[in-house]
This record gives sequence, structure tokens and C-alpha cells, in this order.
Amino acid sequence: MNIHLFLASLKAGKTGIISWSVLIALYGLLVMYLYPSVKDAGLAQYYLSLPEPLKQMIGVDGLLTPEGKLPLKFFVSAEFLSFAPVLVTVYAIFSAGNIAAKEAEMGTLDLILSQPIARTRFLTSKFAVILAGLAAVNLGSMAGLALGMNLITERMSLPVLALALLQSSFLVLAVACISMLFSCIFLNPRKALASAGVFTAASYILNFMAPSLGSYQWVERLSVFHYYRSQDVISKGVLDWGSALVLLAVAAVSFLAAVLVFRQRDIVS
Amino acid sequence: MSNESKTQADVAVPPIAPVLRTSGLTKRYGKARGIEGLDLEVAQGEIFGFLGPNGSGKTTTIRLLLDLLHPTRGRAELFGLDSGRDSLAIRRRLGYLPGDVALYEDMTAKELLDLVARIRSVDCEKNQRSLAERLGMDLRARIRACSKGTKQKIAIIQALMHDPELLILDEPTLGLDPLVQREFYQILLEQKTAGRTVFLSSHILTEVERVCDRVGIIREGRLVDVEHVSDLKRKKVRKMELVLARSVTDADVAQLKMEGVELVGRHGNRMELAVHGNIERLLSILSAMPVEDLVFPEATLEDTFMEFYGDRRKH
Repeated sequence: MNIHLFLASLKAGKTGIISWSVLIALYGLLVMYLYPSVKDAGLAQYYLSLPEPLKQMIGVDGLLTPEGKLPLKFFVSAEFLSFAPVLVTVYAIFSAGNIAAKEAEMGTLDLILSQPIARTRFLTSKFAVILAGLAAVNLGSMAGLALGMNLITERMSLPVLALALLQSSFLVLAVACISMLFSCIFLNPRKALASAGVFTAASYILNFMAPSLGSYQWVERLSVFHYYRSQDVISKGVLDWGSALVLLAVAAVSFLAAVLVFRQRDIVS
Repeated sequence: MSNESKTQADVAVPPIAPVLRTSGLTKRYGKARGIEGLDLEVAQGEIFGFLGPNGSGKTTTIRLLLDLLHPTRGRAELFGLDSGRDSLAIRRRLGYLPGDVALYEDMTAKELLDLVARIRSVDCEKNQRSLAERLGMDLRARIRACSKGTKQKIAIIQALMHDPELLILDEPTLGLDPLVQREFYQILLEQKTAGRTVFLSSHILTEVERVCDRVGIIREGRLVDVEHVSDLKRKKVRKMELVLARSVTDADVAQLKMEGVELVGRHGNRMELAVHGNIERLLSILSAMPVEDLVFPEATLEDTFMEFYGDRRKH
């Protein structure tokens, strides 16, 4: 990584990072704020009546009590951890999909790659900005939820919440690396973003639909969202290392592929 | 030796190891042509002009030298190093001005130049200031608000500020006003005096004539000739339009029949001539004629190409 390029890119991307972090923090705050008003409103029965795929997605098992009470950790899992990472993958797609493609389109890639900086270092410096952005967004999530918890009387474990957010980061990281691969393959922001967006949406839908596919349910294993287990972390209190390793492997392979493609790629003006 | 096979070996090169050498360098974009079998040598301390019309392959060649493109065949060496394998070491020693300048718009000129200096791990503060002063620009300017000419100046400063051994400049004077162009040419000549090498692509004949020692002429992806600038000047074709105070007579035409002058057209009191080489004798004849008006613009690359290189492949 080139620290100077990293810092310059971080400065250029700070508005986006701050905006996403604040947005996600406000979302966390809102979820906490809403909890007291919905916990006794029969929402638990509503969750239990959902179709099986939806119940699996929001992690009903092990969180709702047999009496159908709605604990805080379930509400956070269903209303925050089911949706916030999906939002953050949008940030990942836009940031990583543009990583090389936007610079190629703007022509600034010529300027940077004519300096003594290896293409791998260029990519890692730019990718480090995305990692910094993801860290900031996670901090925003944590801050919003923790601040929101101060507004209510119920409590949940903050360390477990932090672990769940870390687990969600593996999903976002995998999507970011796949988006970066598309960015390096096409060196065209529209094609890269469209491909990464279609891939992520298809992956999400596949995971959602798979439980209703009977003997073909195994296809859910092809979806990165299948390995998103933050709800399990909330219910069990520990990281799901199996799923985390699959997502980290997807991220690592995509990252390496992106580097190899970018190193071989012609930078056409 | 036929014109087709004339290469740089036919034009004397200083007896020093070349800073830049290409051998059989070829780039194809699928079925589309890029460049084909380019053999070129540029010696240290030389200002080498790479001349050709738009789309002839100048930028492709430069991008191959910089490892932005990978060759389909052949190789390029800079400082004796392979342009692909040793690209990083090469880029430490060169400065590059892209043909289509694109800069980080959110930065100020100073921020961009400092970023480039930090990536290069060199202190360029003094050179930055000196170059900015010579080119007449304020480094505090935000790039987004800069004109095309000012962006070109920023790009020139980033290419020069670290005192590179080799400068690769793609159409360097695009967008510069004449005064700044003059200063820029002066800077190039100072680089040469300091023993540095310049590889400059252009489609402007007068530009390469003014600063270059030798010129490589590229057309449709192939190097068609390498000339000393003095030879190129001799070949240069200029159109002259003459308006006489009376109708043109056959005697006038006969008078103008001489080596290096060709009658292209004749209408009433107007004559159009194609002139190449020395015009001293032509002017002495014209001084005795009732010339009412004379238009003698700079030679265009297109005219010179058409005259000397345009139909070479047919020969």
C-alpha cells in the first residue's frame, strides 16, 4: 500500500464515508427508539407468521421466546442486522466498483500509473480506503445502536453486538472484493457497477428463494448471503467462524483475481 | 535502400547507448491496428520528435513505453531496462505528460503536485515553485476551476519537477498560449543542455522543427521515416497563394518553373504553388513581378505527408 495515495484517496472519499456512517448510525438509533413502542404490540406473532424463507433470513429461530415475546436482541437482529448490511453492500458496490474503473474513465489512472507505483499498490491503497470506510460505517452502526440503547430501559450485550457487526463485515468485504474484480475486468464504471449490482441482487434473491426450491435448496450455498450469520451471532453470542471463513475466502480469491486482472490489463486512453 | 526499409540506422545517432529502444514493437487491438513492428532508438541528450497525424499510433507507442499497454509482439527498453518487467524502475527515472490531461479535480494544483512528489519520495518544492513561476500559474488554484491550458501547465510541472532523465511528452503544447509555448520550448532546450532526453509526440510540424534534433514519422501505425530536422525542413511542403495586379501569363508560369516549386493552380490573377526547400530564389523572382498579395502559411503536416509519405506504400 502507498500511504500517500491512501491518505489522498481517503480525503477525497471522506464525504461519502461520513454520510454513510451517519446514515447507518441514525438507522440504528431509530431501531432502538422504536423498540419500546412495538415490543408489546404483537409483533412477535407477526414474525412467527412469516413465510419460512423470511423467518430464516431474519433469524427467528432461537430469538423469539416460546411465549412469543419480542426481546430487544431479536428486534435488533430482525430490523437492523437484516437490512443494514444490505445497505452497506450498496456502499461497497459503489466504492469498490469504481476503484479502478472510475479513474480509468476520468483519465487519472494514466497520471498515477506513470508514477513509480505498482498496480498492486495502487489497488491496495484504494481498497484500504474502502476498508476504512467499512470500519467507519461499523463504528457508526455501533454508535447509533449504543446511543439508542441509552434512550430505552432494555439492554443487550454490546460486545455481542460488536461481534455481529464484525460478522456482517465479512459479507460486505466479500461483495466489495467481487465489485473490485468487476471494476478491474471492465475498467468502465457503468459496466462494473451494473455487473456487481446484478451479481449481488441475484445472490440475495437466490438465498431468499432457495428454501422454497425443495431438493434444489442446496443452491443457497452459491449465494454469499447464505453465509451471512449475524443473527446467529446475536443468538449464540459467538462468531460463526465457518461462514466467516467462506466469506473471507471469497473475498481473498476475488481480491487476488482483481489484482491479477489489473496487472495484466491494458489501460486504454 | 528503399524508402520502406529506411530505419533509424540510416540516420546518424550519437554514439551513446540509447535511452530508449524499441524493436519490432507491435500492438493490435483485436483486429484493429495499433502500431506495427516499430524499431526506434533515442540517444541520451536528444530531443526526439515523434510526428504523425491524429490516430497514427503516437499515443499507443507512448503507452507501451510506460507499460500502460502490453505489447502484442516486440519489446521496448528504456535505460536498457524492459518496459514491462522493469516498469517501476523505469518510471522512477522518467516524467510523463499525457496527451489528454486528466487530474484530480477536487485537489488544488499544489495538493496534486505534492501527492506526486510524495509518491516519488522526492522533494520537488523548489522546482515546483520555479516551474510555476516560469509558466505563470498559481499553485493554489483548485483544479476544477482551472482552464484547459492551466491544467496542461500543472501536468507539465508534474512531469518535470523531479528532474527526470527522460521526458515523455504526448502533444505537450495542446491548450498552451503562444507565450507559454515559447517558455515551454525554452525549458525543453534547457533539459537537453542538462543532458536529459526528451521524447515528444506531436502532429505540429513547426513544433518539432523548433526543438527536436531528430524526428520519427509514424503513419497508420508504421514508422515511415526517421529524419534529422534539417532534412525534414528541406522536405517540408508549403502552399503559396499569389495574387498579381494583372492576369497570370504563360511567361509568369515559365519564370516560376524551378526546382522545389510546382504550379498547383492558376485562375485569373491568382496562382497556387507548392513550395519546398529554400525560397530565396523564388522570392527574388517574385520581387520582379507585380505581386498584389501573397499568402504563405506554415507547412501543414498533412501536406508534407501527402507529398513525401502519403503514397509510399504504393511505390
